[in-house]
Amino acid sequence: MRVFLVIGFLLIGFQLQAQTAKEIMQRVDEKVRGTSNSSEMKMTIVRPDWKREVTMKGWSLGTEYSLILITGPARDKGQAFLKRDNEMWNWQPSIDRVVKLPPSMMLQSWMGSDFTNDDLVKESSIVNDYTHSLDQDSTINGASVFKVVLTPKPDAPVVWGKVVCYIDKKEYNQLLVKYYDEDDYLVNTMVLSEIKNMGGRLLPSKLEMIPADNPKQRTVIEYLNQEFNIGLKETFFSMQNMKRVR
Amino acid sequence: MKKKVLILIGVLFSYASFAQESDEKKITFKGYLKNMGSFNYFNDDLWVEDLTHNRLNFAWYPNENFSAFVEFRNRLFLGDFVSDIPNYNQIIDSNNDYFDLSANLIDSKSALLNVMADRVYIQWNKNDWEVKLGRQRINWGVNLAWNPNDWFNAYSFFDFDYEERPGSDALRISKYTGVASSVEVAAKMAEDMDRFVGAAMWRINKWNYDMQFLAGMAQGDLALGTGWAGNLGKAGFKGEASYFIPVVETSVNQSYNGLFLGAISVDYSFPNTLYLNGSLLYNSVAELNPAFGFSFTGARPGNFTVRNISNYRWSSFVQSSYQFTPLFSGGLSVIAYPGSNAFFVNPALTVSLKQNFDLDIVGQLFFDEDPINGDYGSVSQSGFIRLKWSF
Repeated sequence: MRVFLVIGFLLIGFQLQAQTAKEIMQRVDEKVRGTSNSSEMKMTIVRPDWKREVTMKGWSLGTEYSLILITGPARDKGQAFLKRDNEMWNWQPSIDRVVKLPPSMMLQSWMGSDFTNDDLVKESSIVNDYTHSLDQDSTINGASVFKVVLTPKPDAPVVWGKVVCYIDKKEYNQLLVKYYDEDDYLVNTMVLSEIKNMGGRLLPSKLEMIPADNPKQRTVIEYLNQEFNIGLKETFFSMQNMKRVR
Repeated sequence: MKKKVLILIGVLFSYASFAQESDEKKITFKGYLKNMGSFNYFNDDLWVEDLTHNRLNFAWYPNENFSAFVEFRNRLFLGDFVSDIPNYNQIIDSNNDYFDLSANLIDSKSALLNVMADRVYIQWNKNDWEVKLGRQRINWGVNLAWNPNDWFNAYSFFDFDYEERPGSDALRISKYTGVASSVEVAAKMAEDMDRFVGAAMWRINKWNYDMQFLAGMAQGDLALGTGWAGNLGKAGFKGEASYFIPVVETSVNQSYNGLFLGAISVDYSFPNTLYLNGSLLYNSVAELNPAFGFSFTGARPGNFTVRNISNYRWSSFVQSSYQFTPLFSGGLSVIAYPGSNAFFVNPALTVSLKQNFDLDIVGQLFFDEDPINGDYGSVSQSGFIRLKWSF
């Protein structure tokens, strides 16, 4: 009887824990995303002897819809990217052409950076495309953090074998994310810092993606501003609007 | 008179853009300055040209529904082509447009300065409607290399330095019927049927495919077309086809009773940035192995239409490109013409020197049989080195 009770508790405990890990990620996800959001950001590709900047504006609704407008550098200004479900288009105003991008492009580097297209338009979801488990708590810069291990579901549109997130227990912000390949080697580390009030939420405003095999290089994304729950509808993410946003 | 008008438009827009710079970006201004040296071997003779190329794009957004666009293309040519090619000034000054908005401001034996406005249009938007009037690019093509659906303003793949490609003096009315669907009607101004194009396009998105259906009149032909862009697995799969049936005899349709032009392409992008694109074009009335097949496929003066995008019955295209570092990428395009021995090799390197400064090194090598003595070899070899400052 006792044994059953213990097993029962263990099972419940397991379930609770599994749910908790998922719930943590849901809370993290809701906080950075809202139901809809808009942002202005600056991306800097940093290498030991040079750097390049790209500035952009972005709008998104869930993981299904997003729109990105390039506002700099001058050469690429005015180009836009639209994602709806698993379809993606690129608007090139100089030649009046909408180009449908092949799905294979989703996992490619975003404009030469250490981020992929998927990182930017967020096709994969940290909630729905992974199973979650809680590892031992730890601390980062004095803050107590959850350590959540994300394992991709079999059909998920994800290149990683495993993702480990360290989440601030108080504010539910990701502070550190480690991306591993299928052979369990560390590929990328993302460091999130400079917590600021943006759109009424305390959020990291600086994201640094650092490749494990080349720690001297990195790509930095700085959020200049963010707004949440701005009432964007699915129809905002249209071909017409991709050509019109400024 | 024409020169004065062009200069006046330019001065007014520059003045307005500087004056209103702080005014919530009602007027925007951007452009670039390029300098390109070209080294061309034709039959072992070297021809050298230097081209300074400036682009100025102005846009005016007075309110939510209305906007206006004027874009200038200014080119200064120096070198052997200017001094040694007869009528080079006229070739550069010629275009396919109804209004003549191009002028040679300097026209001497050693230098040629051409100024043209290749976009001048106003745009009106309200709800799902969009109307554009004036010189604009109407781009109904789908593929990268060849666009049989580009009925209004066809361009040549070989003319790589004209990134914006030509426009048309036209009226276009679009109604967006959904998030990825629309109906467009467009008509190009023309003095006669030789140049007139008027057509409608219906665009829909179904089963993750963009599909388009076109019908209209193009240079005296009844024209019908279709195109699609979708995926085969993770690869992109695109195609477009047009059929032209002569209805009114014009200078372009005397040689056929029906002309089919079709192109399909597949592209794939690897996570390591390697990009591959393969395409095949078929032209039902072109010869398999035409003599002088490459002639005039470049910057052909006069009435260049979509029927001229290749002079060969079959044209095949493979492009690979790879980013070695975020600053340095390379590409290689090869065009072969099945049924003929002609082919084209086009290596390209791009280096980002600084933010807003790019360097391109491009080669264009044409191989074919000599139509006179039958010898096989390189018909022409060109190398280009181009520095571009974008602002």
